[in-house]
Amino acid sequence: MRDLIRWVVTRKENTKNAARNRLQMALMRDRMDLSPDIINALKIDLLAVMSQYLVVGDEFQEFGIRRLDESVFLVSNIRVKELPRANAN
Amino acid sequence: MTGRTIVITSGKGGVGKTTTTANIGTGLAMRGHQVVVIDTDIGLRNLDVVMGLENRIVYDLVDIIEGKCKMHQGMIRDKNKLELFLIPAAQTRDKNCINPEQMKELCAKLEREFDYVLIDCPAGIEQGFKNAIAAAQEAILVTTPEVSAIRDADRVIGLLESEGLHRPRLIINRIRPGMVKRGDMMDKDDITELLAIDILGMVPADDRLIIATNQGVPVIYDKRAPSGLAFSRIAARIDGEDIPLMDLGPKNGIMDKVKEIMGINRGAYSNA
Ligand SMILES: Nc1ncnc2c1ncn2[C@@H]1O[C@H](COP(=O)(O)OP(=O)(O)OP(=O)(O)O)[C@@H](O)[C@H]1O
Ligand SMILES: [Mg+2]
Repeated sequence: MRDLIRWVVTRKENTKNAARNRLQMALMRDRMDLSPDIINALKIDLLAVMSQYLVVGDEFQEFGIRRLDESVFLVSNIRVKELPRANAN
Repeated sequence: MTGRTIVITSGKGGVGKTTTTANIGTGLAMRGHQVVVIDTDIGLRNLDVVMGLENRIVYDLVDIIEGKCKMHQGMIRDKNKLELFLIPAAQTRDKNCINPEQMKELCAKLEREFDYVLIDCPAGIEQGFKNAIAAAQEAILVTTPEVSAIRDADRVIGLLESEGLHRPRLIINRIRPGMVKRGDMMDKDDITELLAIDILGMVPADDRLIIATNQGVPVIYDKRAPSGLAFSRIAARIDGEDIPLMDLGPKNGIMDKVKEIMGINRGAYSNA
């Protein structure tokens, strides 16, 4: 009896969950379009932080928000011109 | 006096901004505050009919802004509440005939005389939206529990943020507690979590609201209307009262009882 009721309840939760999941994906997709201002500010800040540890190029080779399956990644590549000497911490 | 200017906005059309503005405005006036509500939906005015004041319009928002009348001449006093005034939108002009600077100027003046200046925003994110949000210090976002409305709300949160309107508060309108219980409608937790936003209140879908609107009387006057009660509580929260969200749904069927007893009444609550 308990299983039967549970089955009925879970089965009926489907359309709300469908809505929730679709909304979640739509929001993710929408929010991936960061404004150019934010992208630029992020680049500048990242370059500044990296320069404290490495000598890097002035430009990212690649920089973007990408989606892979259900997760969102910041994908970026930058040339490292000089590495610090080992143990030189 | 320095009043608070609050914009009621949504992105998607038809979700209940005008209804919310009329009821919250009335609710705050019932609490003894001086309130002015402004319809900024130029070309598609509606707040006047929802408040039952459509026959009293002489001047409108654009007339005030263009100096065709004095500010006070353009304000219509409510039928029931001496503390409540409406500034109607112009019907035969378009949204580009006023600008954000003019709205700021007008609201700054109004804030000196009123405790609350409520701005009913048009749908969309174009000029009308920009005019409506320009003068506001706070924003209330109205949505319904549907994917498209919530998605638009998310977009609007971003736009409000970039205009310096942080932490808008959410009203979820037209909730159907029965459907939430059955798992066929998103509930407040789903929505507030996805939008990462604080909730101000929930308003059930309510036939009595439609009846009240037909008569040009804000539903908040109807003591038996669930939506009216929800709006009173929202007005109180805006006014700084800390009242908990209310249980929306009638504990209906016998099956709910059974499920409750067996501890599997999941997600079966809903509050306002
Ligand atoms: N809780 C509710 N229950 C039942 N009907 C409702 C509820 N809220 C709003 N409505 C109805 O929905 C319709 C749209 O409401 P309203 O005009 O307030 O929306 P709006 O967001 O101002 O629309 P617009 O974007 O066109 O300005 C109206 O007919 C109103 O009576
Ligand atoms: Mg409206």
